[in-house]
Amino acid sequence: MTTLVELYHAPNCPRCTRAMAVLREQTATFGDRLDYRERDVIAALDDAVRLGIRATPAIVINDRLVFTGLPAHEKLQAALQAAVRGAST
Amino acid sequence: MTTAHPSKPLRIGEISQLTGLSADTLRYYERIGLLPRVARTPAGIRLYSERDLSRLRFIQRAQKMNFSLEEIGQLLQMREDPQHARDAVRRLAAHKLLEVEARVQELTLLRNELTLLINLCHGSSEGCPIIEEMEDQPPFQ
Repeated sequence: MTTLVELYHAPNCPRCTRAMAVLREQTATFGDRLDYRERDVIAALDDAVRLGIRATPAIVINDRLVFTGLPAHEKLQAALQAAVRGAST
Repeated sequence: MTTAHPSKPLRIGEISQLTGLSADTLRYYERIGLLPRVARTPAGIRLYSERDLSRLRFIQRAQKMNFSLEEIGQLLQMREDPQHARDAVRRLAAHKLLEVEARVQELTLLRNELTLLINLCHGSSEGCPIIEEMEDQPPFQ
């Protein structure tokens, strides 16, 4: 199973732009074990509300809200690794 | 309308002010049995107890959920003596509970959506997503 990582972002959200850059870089290291998508929170509002997203940027891993805001590099890396490990077992 | 609790019996005007219900409505509820006969002074002036106020607030809450007055009457009987409620009334209460829970769920989603939109508004330097979202939606059916 491939791990799905989604970044919910909004227009005019500088932290979202920063989060996009970080996530693109970090998720790329996992190759095809991880599928990374960026979603406009307004276009995907129903999903965002269902997931409990209250602010952007929000990072969703396998349909579960894991971070609101951009976490520290190590924290994000650990969450991605755990998700990929979990998906391969 | 305030949420104060009366420590002494209240007259109809005071109850009306506390609940937002008109004096006519209060008298009507008593006439159709939603309220038991309200105590009166020797001069015939109605004196509402804290228990009456509690019943009125229950009626108002139930009406906001679109329960009929007949249903509210049955639920009030159960509220007076839950242990001896008839089966039909218990079933009605269970059914109404499901309706309330569904409404709570809807309201929770709405709250989350509005919270998100307001947060997006704060983060936006150009325009406000709450407005864009409303414009994109078809009017209520």
